[in-house]
Amino acid sequence: MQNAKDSFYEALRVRLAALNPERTIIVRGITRPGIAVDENEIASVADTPDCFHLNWTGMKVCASGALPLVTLECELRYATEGSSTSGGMDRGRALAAMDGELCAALLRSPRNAAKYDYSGLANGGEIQVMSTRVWWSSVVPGPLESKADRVGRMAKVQVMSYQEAGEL
Amino acid sequence: MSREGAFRLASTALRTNGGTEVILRLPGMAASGTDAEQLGLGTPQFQDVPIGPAVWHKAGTSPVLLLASTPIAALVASEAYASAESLFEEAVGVVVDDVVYGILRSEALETAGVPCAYRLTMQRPARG
Repeated sequence: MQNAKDSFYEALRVRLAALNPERTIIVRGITRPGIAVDENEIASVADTPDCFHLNWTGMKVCASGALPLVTLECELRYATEGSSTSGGMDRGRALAAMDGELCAALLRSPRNAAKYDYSGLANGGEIQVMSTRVWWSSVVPGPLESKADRVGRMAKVQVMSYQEAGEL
Repeated sequence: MSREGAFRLASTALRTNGGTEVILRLPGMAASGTDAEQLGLGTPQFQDVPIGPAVWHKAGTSPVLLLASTPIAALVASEAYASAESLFEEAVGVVVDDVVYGILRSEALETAGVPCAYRLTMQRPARG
């Protein structure tokens, strides 16, 4: 299941970076594409605006087939304060831009990606490609959330994969 | 009272009340050239910064640490944090006698609008 999570994140990050290379964040001194898995970061990263925050919130396993089918619930939170040069008065359009980027990234064909085992990176090793792929549902954007000078939204998507033999 | 006078007074008060040096543990720089940390696979690096004088203060059920503002101001400037609050939010915790206490919240103690000390409400580590 971790491989499916990692592979979906990597695929989404590549797609978002291609759509808007200027959407970046700085985390502990390193500039990188504006998407983060909150559970893999220090707590303060979760409040970073103009960034897509990925959280895994649920899981279902169906063991009726040859391989167990795992369905992971993924929530993508994002918010923006607009630009300082506009005094934040462009935050509506900035949020719409994020809506567009996320939908384009997730709805672009194919809605699947190769599944990899990234665990080797912990020891400086290589990424291993796996036999099956990950695929995902249509994205379901939630209602607008407005708080003081920030507007945002939470979108939901389901990520599916087959649990291969020996995979944890 | 001048700003410098207020800083010296706070620092002196903390020292004479048993002030000692503690370690503020900060997250280190992220590793570049690998996605390991983004996937939760990296071994996080920390930066331990000794700061003081600091005094423990019992208030309610959570331990409270009082810190002089001068070393905090220097740390904020040298590490390019937006503010002391940002520094404390990003800090992993305070290390005292090899025990890491989490920082629940921070409050600036001010004189004439200038922080002379900081009060940190700490989180006791889980008993192992």
